Amino acid sequence: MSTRLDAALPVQPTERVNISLQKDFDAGVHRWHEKYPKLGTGPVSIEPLVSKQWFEAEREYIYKKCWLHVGTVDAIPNPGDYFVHEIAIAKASIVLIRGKDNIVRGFYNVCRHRGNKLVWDYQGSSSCYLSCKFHGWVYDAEGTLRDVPDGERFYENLEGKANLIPVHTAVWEGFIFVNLDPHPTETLEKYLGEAGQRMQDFPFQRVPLQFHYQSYQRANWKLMLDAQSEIYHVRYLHSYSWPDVFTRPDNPYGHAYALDLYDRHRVGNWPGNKYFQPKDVEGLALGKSAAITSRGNDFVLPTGQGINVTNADDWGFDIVHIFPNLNILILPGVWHTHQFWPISENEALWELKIHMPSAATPSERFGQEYNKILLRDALLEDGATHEHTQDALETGAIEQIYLQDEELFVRHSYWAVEQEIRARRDGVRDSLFNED
Amino acid sequence: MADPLLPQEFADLEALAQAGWCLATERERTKKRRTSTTKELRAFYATVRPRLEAALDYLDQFPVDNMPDKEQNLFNLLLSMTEVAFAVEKYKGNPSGFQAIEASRFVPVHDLPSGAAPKPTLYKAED
Repeated sequence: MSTRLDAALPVQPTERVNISLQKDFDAGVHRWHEKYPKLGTGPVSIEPLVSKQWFEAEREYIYKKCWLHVGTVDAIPNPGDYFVHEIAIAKASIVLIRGKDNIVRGFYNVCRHRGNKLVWDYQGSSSCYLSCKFHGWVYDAEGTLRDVPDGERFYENLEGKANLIPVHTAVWEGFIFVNLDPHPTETLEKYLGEAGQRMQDFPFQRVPLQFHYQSYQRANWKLMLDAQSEIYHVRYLHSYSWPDVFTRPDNPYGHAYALDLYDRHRVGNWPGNKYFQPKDVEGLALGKSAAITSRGNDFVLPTGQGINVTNADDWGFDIVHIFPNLNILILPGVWHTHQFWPISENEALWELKIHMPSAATPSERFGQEYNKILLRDALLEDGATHEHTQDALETGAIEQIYLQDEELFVRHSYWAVEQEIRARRDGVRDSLFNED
Repeated sequence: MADPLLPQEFADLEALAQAGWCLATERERTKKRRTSTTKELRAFYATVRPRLEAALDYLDQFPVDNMPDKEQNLFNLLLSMTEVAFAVEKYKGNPSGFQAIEASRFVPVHDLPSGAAPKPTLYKAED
């Protein structure tokens, strides 16, 4: 049944954390460089987007070492529920299963008998046991081998011994992360740091997972991340699908309210278009449900302290980037995640998961559908630039790209990737906040 | 005349229902939009638009996850309007966006059979 947002959620304005209050869109054309001088202003090399060697470094020093988001707890609400996540760059298939004790555990999806893939479907429910289709070996949700058919023919008792290989798994605010490093150097909480703290009082779990998309793209994963990291492109690329959802006459290029960088992660706060004039059916639909444009109605979620950190009454959205490949977009009525999973230096899987309140009525469900298509059609436009850009970069015609001040998140992305590789490979970790 | 698919109150939309617009999944609705002509999209919009509020109000008498068959058909027809509205209101009647990849490449996993393993590399450009 409906988990409609009870209206009793007004948020008391409270003191906020680590804020850059920059409500004047035009307050200094190089304001972000002045805030983060360490990132510099020069052109950025395209090597990380086209180089096989760079990709190999990302495999070894980022994807096999960092905490990676793989799904949310609401995807597996009951004991025995499971899903499988493939991490192509690490050649890993991970099964995440909720145990009778309600703890979510992750295991390599490999049967200990002769190495068959244990779970073949993508998600499902079980009685807290997983059995291998090949010879019927049975494991419980703690990964313990519980039954070996014809077991006395083996030369030792393997039950309780040849258990599933666990993967370090931890949950933060309902977000499940795994770490493929056998000995992670940090806890998830420490890894997320201040960016994680800012997510703490946003009611993520009151808005369930409703829609899930995947797209294979012939492009480097960082190009996709870049497209979801700045608003400069919206006025042009999205001139048909969303000409004026976020841009507006007094802020035509979508300048941000606050861009806060941490060494790996980042959180940004942007205004919306309070003058937005929807088309005919568009306006009707967006008024029926929680939407990316919700404003001043029952569908607006309380943001807590760390989200919409400037407390803007014309708030558009926040982007929370969790290194290396998770963007959480939080808008007034909905939130969604983008993930960019590398396959090779020029192929990646793009994954979108949309969280919205459960629809209480058919007309609310209609509004949700429109809202979903609004998002999807704009992303199809982003998808076109990913592949065109990859093709163009691979011609070798240019060696560098130019970034303006409002593209700070793109500049930070390349810096953070390089720093992580240097830190893990060379043992030297630089900080944005150190003097050179 | 085939058996009516829609409730009697919305018999004026029956021809669209018979033309295959009552589609249960986003994947099917997107494909229908993409494979329709501008003329067909504009005709759908012109017929459904004046009845949209009345149809939504009518359907709101029923539970969203348990509608009778004819009401479900009507609802699925309205969901097609979310696709058609983009083409008509934003893309000048063009079935797809102007500077976009094909919608079939953005696979709605939520529409796949439950438990189906998504093999994204198999969905490069096909339905």
